[in-house]
Amino acid sequence: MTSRGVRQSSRGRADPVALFFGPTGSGPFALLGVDARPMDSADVLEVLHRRLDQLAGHPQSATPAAEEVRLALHSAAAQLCDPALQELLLQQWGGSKERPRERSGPGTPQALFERELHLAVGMSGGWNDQARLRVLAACEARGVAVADAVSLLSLRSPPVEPVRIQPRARSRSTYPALAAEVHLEEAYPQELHPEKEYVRWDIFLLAGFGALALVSVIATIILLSPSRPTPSPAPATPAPELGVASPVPVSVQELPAIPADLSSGDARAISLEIVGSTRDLATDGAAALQRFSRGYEAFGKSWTMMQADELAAVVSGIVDFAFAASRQDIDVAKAITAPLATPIGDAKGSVRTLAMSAGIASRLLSEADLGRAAIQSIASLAIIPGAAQALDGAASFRAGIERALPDIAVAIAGSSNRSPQPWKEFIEVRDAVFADRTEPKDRLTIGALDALLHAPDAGVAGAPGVQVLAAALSWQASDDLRNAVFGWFDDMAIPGEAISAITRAMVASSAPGIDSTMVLAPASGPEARAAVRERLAQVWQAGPVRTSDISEEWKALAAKLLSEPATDPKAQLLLASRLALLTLAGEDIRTSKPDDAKAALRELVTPAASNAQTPPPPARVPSPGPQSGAIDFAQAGNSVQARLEALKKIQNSSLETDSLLARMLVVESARGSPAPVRDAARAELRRRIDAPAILLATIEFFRQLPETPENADWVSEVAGKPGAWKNRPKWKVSGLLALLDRACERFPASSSEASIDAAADALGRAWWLRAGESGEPGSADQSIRRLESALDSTTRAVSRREPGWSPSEIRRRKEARLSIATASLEKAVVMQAACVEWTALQAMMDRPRAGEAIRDITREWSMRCRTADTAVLQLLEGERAMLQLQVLRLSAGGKS
Amino acid sequence: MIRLAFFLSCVCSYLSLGADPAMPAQSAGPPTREALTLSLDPEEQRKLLQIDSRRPQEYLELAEDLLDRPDSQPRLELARDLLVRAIEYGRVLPENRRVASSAAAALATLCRRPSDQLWLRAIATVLQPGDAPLPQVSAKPLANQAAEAKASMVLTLIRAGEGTEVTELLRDDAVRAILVRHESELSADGTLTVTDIENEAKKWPCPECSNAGIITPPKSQHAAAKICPVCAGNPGLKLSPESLGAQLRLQRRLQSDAPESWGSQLATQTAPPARDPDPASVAIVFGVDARKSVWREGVWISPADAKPENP
Ligand SMILES: [Zn+2]
Repeated sequence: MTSRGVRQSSRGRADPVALFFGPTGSGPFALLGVDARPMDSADVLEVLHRRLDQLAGHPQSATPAAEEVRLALHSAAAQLCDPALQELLLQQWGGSKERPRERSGPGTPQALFERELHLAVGMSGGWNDQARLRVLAACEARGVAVADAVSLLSLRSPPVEPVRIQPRARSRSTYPALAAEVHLEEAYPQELHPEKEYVRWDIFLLAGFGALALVSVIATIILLSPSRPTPSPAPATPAPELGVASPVPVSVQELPAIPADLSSGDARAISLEIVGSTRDLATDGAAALQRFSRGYEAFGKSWTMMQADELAAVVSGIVDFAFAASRQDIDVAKAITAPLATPIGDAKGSVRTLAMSAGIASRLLSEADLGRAAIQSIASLAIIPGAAQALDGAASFRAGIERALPDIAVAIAGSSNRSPQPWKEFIEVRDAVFADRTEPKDRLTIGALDALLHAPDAGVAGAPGVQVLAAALSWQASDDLRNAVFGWFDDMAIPGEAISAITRAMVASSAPGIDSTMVLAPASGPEARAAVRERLAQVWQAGPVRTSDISEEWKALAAKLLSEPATDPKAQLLLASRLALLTLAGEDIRTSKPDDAKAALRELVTPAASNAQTPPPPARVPSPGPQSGAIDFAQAGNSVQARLEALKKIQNSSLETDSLLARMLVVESARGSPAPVRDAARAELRRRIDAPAILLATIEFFRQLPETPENADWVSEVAGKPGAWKNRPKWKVSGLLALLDRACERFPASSSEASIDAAADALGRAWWLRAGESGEPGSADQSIRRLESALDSTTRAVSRREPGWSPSEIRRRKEARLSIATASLEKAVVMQAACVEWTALQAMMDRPRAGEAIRDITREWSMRCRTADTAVLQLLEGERAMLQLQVLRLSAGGKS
Repeated sequence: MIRLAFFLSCVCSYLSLGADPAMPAQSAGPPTREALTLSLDPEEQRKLLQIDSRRPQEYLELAEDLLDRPDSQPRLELARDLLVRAIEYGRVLPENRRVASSAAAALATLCRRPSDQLWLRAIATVLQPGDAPLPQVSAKPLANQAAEAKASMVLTLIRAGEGTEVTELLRDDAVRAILVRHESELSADGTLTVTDIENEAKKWPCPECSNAGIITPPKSQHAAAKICPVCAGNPGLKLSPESLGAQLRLQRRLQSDAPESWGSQLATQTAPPARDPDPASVAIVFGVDARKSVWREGVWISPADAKPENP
């Protein structure tokens, strides 16, 4: 079993942590690459540095992904540096409950200072303005150059220039907390100053500037926020746990004293509320859930204003909460998805919160380790109102929202609320997620406009919303824009008020060629509408596709592939993948990207050699013979000495791992006694870790296996991958699954399985590319879902109404088919069928006069699908139909 | 055309109803007049002779009457034919789609396989006006998850030769039902049955070595330990590598919803072709010639060939 789906780690492929460190589990310990064990702060800093070095050595260490990981590492280290928090985390992530003991002595002043800096970054949720201010404060207290401090942190960000730090005019200020820190600072006596000698103070002047800036910042804040209660300074006693009179201005102990002003959207307050609720889970589940919901709601209202690192910190806190809750069988699904069930109202933040909930739910759905019950529970509730399908797992919060946004648009358009407020928030969410990616932003906005324009009361009532959306378009001429706008102009069911609002926004955008005479008056008749449409057509010049050499070559290849036969599933899947790539090349030709098309054609003409990978030989379990090492061991009876000798003899021999030997090694590794026998058995088992007999013996003995961390260690090695489960106190359920996964890989149910999987990957990759996705493709199952949703959103702006071919009818058919599909391959066929129908609809838009030819293609396709005797053949027929439609779209005279 | 025939014979053979599951719908042939006159009351007889494809609700109503007293195979078969026709004639006209929908729902109750029931229920929903929610494959309840874990355990244990425990676990009806439902996945060729497993369980543990695999004589005898001659050191159910692979896949399926590779689904034949809940395909699948809409002399005939009948 070589499928990605099976092998995939609990985190998605796009998980940056996995990119740099390979698959890791959840939680700060796993992130830092250590087992959950008590650590003092020197230990923590040591592992942090090790991880940072590892990161720095990676070829992609200068990417944003690396930056994200770096921040996560700092944040994890900061959490572990706090003894109280560490204890809590230890309970959560396993390990013994021994209190960490600080090593003798308080550590060097440099180390202390460094910890202070890491804490500052960690507690600020990453390297942000807040962290900068904290580092600045710490430097000021120590008289250290800020630049040195920054280099000590190994942050890649440009060094802080203190003079540039300006208090941002934002309501969600965390500065009162800072003021408290300064009070604390003042409470500390001067005896700290000797430590200054240990650190370099060569840029004293700069630090002076920093201090000046800081003082002015704080003064400004205090002046600007008179209504905010000034928090009382925390007790002016040094934190005893640290062993020294620590000047650390920010330490977790003081935090509860700071009023957690959730409603202002302070990222740290929210983080604390969520971390706190995770802690409360241990004592009172209901109260914890309530506290979590408070933080969650506050996050929903404010996340679009947070910076990337703050966002990452809160999201990871929420994920941790979900893990902790699922371990205690507390169902978080309701709390997570509550905003999805709330009607979209006028209240500020309602769309923001809805999007957040969708993002979090998708993120959690990708955590297979969360447990089956928890995943199912979330999946059953994670549906955007009115959407055809439940949300899908997403590797990140943002990706989840990105995917949910088209459905959110439909939900807003379908709600009875016609105020522009939800649409303003929709655009805000769009911008937070897509940043400066204009093309997908436009596509989404066009889809939203289309949904709103087709809502029952799009006219006078809907016009303000239309105005908001139209103004958020870039108005860069594109196929999507042309199709959509012309469609709206042609569709007389769309009221003049709405079209007028669109033209006003278009003119205001001052896009090239558009002038103020193109504004359509609200009450204009069909002639005026047609006149403006004509002028737009001239400006945008919806020209025909040029027939070039490439498209001739393309057509020849299409004709060849369409008549190519394929008999077995592997050949059918490979052919389907080539058809899909050719369809993609056709798309490149159609959208005037000749270079991309050429590259794709080259790949198709010379079939990739990568298909020729040889599958591993099927596993074989030798039967025990008279030489079996297990016999000597049995003969040894109860004598420890004799048993150790028998094990040594096995070690020195080149005996095969037969089923008896494997069982003996597994049993002795699991619960052998005394310890030397157990250790020797484990060592020998590890030497034979890849033997199929060991794998089967472990599965057979599994139910009697003591659930200890040591056993988790070797079991995970037998399973062949270090799952996150390994570090949990209750690891056996996940452990058994990991073993079964491995066993399915080692023991194929048919000799063609591996080659079929490889062919499925090839088809999945073609779909992935067609969906416009980049990066490492997901499984074929994921890819076809992406393609379907991409086609759905590009076709959303369709105004032609062919009987049986409206987007809602296509979606309804997809739903109906999906409701009776159980296996994932069946579901892939269903999703592909929807793709065929979307493509047909697009072709009808492009070539209205070819309607009959298009219907012929789909009729033929559906007849062939109905009579196909395998799902794979159905897939091949689907790809054939899509390529035929592409041929039709590209054929001469394809001008609409 | 060959493919179509193959497909139809496949579908029909598992869409059979009533007491004889092996009887394909097509080969059943029209019920004899005698059989029907025996089981139809005069009122039903009268209705049957008057039905007309322009009024699909009459087919549905008569089928419902027949199903109120489902006491013979011919009655059931006639009911099925009536329902298929109600769907076929009802699906075309918007005002009759509701009739077609009810007929599809009724037809679903006559099917045995859950997948067929689901297919017909989906068709019933498709035919309903508006956006009625589609039937859903419901999430497994927790109790079922526990039983599935036990069913998976049965397979591990029988391979290890733990016969006593297997017998014990199979006494649980829920566990047994799960394995029966997945019987075709118990081995590569689908021939291993739950009864086979039960019989195998009676042979184990090994009577000679109690599954130790090795006979160790007491110290006093100074004899060497040796492989058990009865089980050859390998107690438990023996499987071909492919069947072992199939069982492991079933175990994984029982214990996790995580996606499975296509190769694995194809190798274990757990991914049938996707079906389209298209109302137009019902008559084809059931092998009903919908052009023959009237009933005369115990057979369905086309209205053009029929003389009007006055009861
Ligand atoms: Zn034996």
